[in-house]
Amino acid sequence: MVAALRGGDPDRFDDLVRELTPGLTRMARMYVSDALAGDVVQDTWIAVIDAIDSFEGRSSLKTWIYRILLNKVRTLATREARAVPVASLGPDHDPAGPRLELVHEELGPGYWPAPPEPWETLAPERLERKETLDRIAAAIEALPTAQREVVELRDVQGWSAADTAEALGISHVNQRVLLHRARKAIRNALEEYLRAA
Amino acid sequence: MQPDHPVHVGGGIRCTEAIELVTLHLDDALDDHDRRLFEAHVDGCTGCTRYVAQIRQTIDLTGRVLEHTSDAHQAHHTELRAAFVARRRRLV
Repeated sequence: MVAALRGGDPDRFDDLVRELTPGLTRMARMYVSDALAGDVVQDTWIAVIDAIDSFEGRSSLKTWIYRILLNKVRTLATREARAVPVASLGPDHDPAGPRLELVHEELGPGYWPAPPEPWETLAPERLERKETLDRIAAAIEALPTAQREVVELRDVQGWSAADTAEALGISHVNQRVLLHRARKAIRNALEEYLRAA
Repeated sequence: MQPDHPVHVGGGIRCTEAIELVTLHLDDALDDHDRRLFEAHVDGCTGCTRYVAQIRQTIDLTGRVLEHTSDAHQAHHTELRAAFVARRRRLV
């Protein structure tokens, strides 16, 4: 792909734009308004065209493009009124989300008081509804940005742990901690929704 | 039917600890020692077995949130293609 882009193959460039633009736009929207997000993604592609010759292939092309976008969008966000507080970029400052307080009658703290109800029996018909996916989307939007970025790449877009850490410029441990918190929060939101059925 | 809780409570890990290892487990990133502890606990614990299943379901459902979103980004593609052709011609 890199060679095709350097060689000026417009069809391969098209393919790449089609493949990555929706995800890039979703990522940009975490930092800036929807209107601005489209422009930043456009700028990112122009930067990719101009810089492809200096791409060293130390990361994958995909993660390199995401890093370009994140650079732009994070700079913009600190300037914009909608700036994301720096604190929310670090896991140390993130709320760990709703904690599961497990206390079993005999075994004491740290054990399920009773096993959670399986979702298949709790609300089988809800699991298949579009509304459930909307609830998940809302739960993701409610997450701190750092968790949201990780779960977006890992679970919404299906990236590997390594690519995700690379694209976001975070350590592997950090990536895992953020993903863990995000999944827990989404799982809890889902359970709450299914329980209300 | 599994017992609700492991019988070997004293020697292993608790539910809260098992829960903290789920993400590593799903990434197949637990070292042998932790993997044995995790598996031994979950195998004997209905609550954690169900919790792991729910995390898997959460991941599956999260992977489907884009199913109903439409691709509204087609507009820029022609423009970008033109920019690509023009700029690469200049650079090559």
